[in-house]
Amino acid sequence: MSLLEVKQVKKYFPVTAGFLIRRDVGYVRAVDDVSFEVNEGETLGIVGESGCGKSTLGRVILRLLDPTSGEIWFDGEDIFKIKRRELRRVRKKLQIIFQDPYSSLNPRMTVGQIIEEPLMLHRIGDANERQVRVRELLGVVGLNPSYISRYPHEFSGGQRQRIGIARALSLHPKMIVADEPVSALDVSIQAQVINLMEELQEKFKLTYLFISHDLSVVKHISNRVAVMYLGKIVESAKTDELFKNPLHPYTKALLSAIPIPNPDKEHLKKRMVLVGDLPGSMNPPPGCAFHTRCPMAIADCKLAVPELREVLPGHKVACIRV
Amino acid sequence: MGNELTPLLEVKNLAISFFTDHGEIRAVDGLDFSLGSGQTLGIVGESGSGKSVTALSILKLILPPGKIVSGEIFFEGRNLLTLSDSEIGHLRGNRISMIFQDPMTSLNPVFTIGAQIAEAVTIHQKNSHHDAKKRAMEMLEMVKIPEAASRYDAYPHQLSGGMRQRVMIAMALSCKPILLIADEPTTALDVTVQAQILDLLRELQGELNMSTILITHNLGIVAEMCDEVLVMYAGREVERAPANDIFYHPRHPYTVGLLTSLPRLDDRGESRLVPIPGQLPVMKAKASSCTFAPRCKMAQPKCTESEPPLYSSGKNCESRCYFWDQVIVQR
Repeated sequence: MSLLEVKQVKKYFPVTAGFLIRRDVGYVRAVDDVSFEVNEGETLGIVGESGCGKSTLGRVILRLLDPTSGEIWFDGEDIFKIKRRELRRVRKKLQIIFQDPYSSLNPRMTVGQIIEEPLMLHRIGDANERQVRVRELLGVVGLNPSYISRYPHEFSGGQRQRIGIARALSLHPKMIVADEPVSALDVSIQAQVINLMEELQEKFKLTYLFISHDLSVVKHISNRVAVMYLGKIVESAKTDELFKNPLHPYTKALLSAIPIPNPDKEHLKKRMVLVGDLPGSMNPPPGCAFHTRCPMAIADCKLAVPELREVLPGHKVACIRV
Repeated sequence: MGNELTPLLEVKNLAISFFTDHGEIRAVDGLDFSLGSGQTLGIVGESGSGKSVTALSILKLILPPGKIVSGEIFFEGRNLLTLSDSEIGHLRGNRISMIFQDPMTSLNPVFTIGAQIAEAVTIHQKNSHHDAKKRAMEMLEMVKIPEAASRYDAYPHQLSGGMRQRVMIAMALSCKPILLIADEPTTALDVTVQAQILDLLRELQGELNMSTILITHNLGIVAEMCDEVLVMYAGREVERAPANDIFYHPRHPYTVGLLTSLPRLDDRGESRLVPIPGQLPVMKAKASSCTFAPRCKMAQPKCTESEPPLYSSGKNCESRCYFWDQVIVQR
C-alpha cells in the first residue's frame, strides 16, 4: 500500500515587477504536474540538478510551502485539505531533515532543547520523561547522551546532521523527507550518516523520500528513483532497472557525466556531454523542456509536453523517442 | 613520473601554521612533492586536511593569521618563498595561474567579464588595450562561451555558474601559464556542467602543455584527470602514488577508507558502506604518533608510540603506514 501519493502537484512562484504597484509578470514553475507514490517502508530517491524543483517538491509535501494545485495523500488524508491548525497532527508522522546542518539548528538552543522541542509542542510526557527520551534519541543516532547540554557550534557537520535526525525521529514519524542530507559532508562522514539512516530505517520501519543531486548516493540508498528536470519527472523506475537501463536521454547524460573512481572504467567510458545549462524555469522551452540540450531531439519534441508513460513494468519515461 | 630530471615545481618540507587565539594550528606540516611538466597531480583529502592551504602557499597567498613557517617551493629553479612581492606578482596569473572553487565570489561583480580577462593580459603581457581585448575575446571563444563577442560586455551576475567558471578558466589561461592550480574547480557545479568543464580543462591542458595541480575531494575526478595522486590527512602526506596504484592497490588505510566510504555507480549497491569512524583531528602540536591511528581499524600499539616515516611502497609510491604491505581493500 502506498503511504504517500502525490497527484498532479504544481507549485508556481509568481515573479513580480514594479516598485509601488507590484504585478505578476510570470511564474517560475518549480514543480510542474508531478505525480508519484511512495510505498510503506521503501526509499524513493529524487534526483536532479540544481533548479529542477526537487527541494520545492519536498517542502510542498510537508506543506512548508502551499501548493498551487494538486493533491497529496499521506496515510489516508489529503494534506492540502487539512486546516493549518491541524497540520501539526500530520507532521508528527511526517518529518524532514534539511541539507545544511549549520543553519537548520538554532545556535542559541542546546542540543537537548532542540531535540525536546517537538515533544514539547506535541505535549508528550513530562519534563523528566522528555529528558529520558532525548537521551535515548542521542544514543540512537550514535551521539553520547552526555552531550545534551552542549550547543550546536560545538559539533562537527556530521554530528549536527545526527542531531537533525534525532529531532526528526523524536515523534516516531512514519516517513522522513530527507532533503540533501549528506551533501554538505565529507565522504567519510557522509558514509557514516548514510549507514545511520539505513539502520534507522530497518529499526523503525521508516519510509524515506530521499532528495539528492548525487546519483551515487541515491543509487546506494533508494529502492526506486525518480529523475527530475525543470519541474517534471522525466523518468522513474526501480533503482537497479534505472541504472542498468536508463531510457530518457537526460538520465543517460546524468549517468555518463559522473566520474567513477576507477581509472580503467573511467577511460573506457563513452561520455555523453550535454551542451549548455539548465534553461530557466520561468520560460521553459515549449514541448519537452529537455529538447534544447537533447542529442536525440527531433522537430516533434517542440510540439507537445511528453507524458510520463509506463514503457516497461514499473519503468516510466517522458520521452517520445523511447 | 614524467620528466624526472628537473621537475617544474618542487615543494620541500613545507609547513604552514595558523596562529589563532587558541594557539598554533598546523595546517600543513612537512610536505614534500614535485610535479613534472605536462603532468597532473591530484591532491585529495577531506576538508581541513590542508590541501587548499598548500595550493595558496605556492602563490604566496596565505594571509595572517596563517604563515608559511618553513620550507622551499622551487618553480623553474627559483625558490618562490624568497621572492619579493613584485617578483611573485609577475608570476601570478602569468606563469602560474589559479582557478578557485566559487566562481561567484572570485569574479569582481562591478566589472564586465571581458574587462577582467583583459586586465590580466594588459598587466602581464604589456599589451595595448586593443590587443588585450582581442586576446580576451579569443579566450572567451577558447573556453567555448557561446556568442563570445556579445558576452564580452556581460557582468558576472548575468552568467550561469558553469559560464562563470569558464570565465575563470579563460582568465587563468589568458597569459598561457605553464602551471595551473585548480582548487575544487567543479565542486559548485552540477554534474552535467562539471563534465563539460573537465572536458574543457583536459583539452586546454593538452593544447597549452600545462602542468596542473588539481585539488579535489572527489575521487572520481581524480581517476578521470590525474597522473599522480597525493593523499593528505591532517596536514601530512599519507600516501602518494600514480593514479592507477591508488585506486587498485592503495597502501594506506586512510586511502582505503576514502575509497570504501564512497557510494559508487559501478557497485552492486547491496552492501553497507564502510565509513571511517570519528573525525579529522586538529593539529595543535607536531605529530608524535600516526595521526590517523585513532580512526584506523588496523592500528597497533606501535602506531601510537611514534609517527611512521614515509615508506617506499612500490615504484613511485610512498605510504606513511607501518603496515603498508598489509593494507587490503575490503570490498
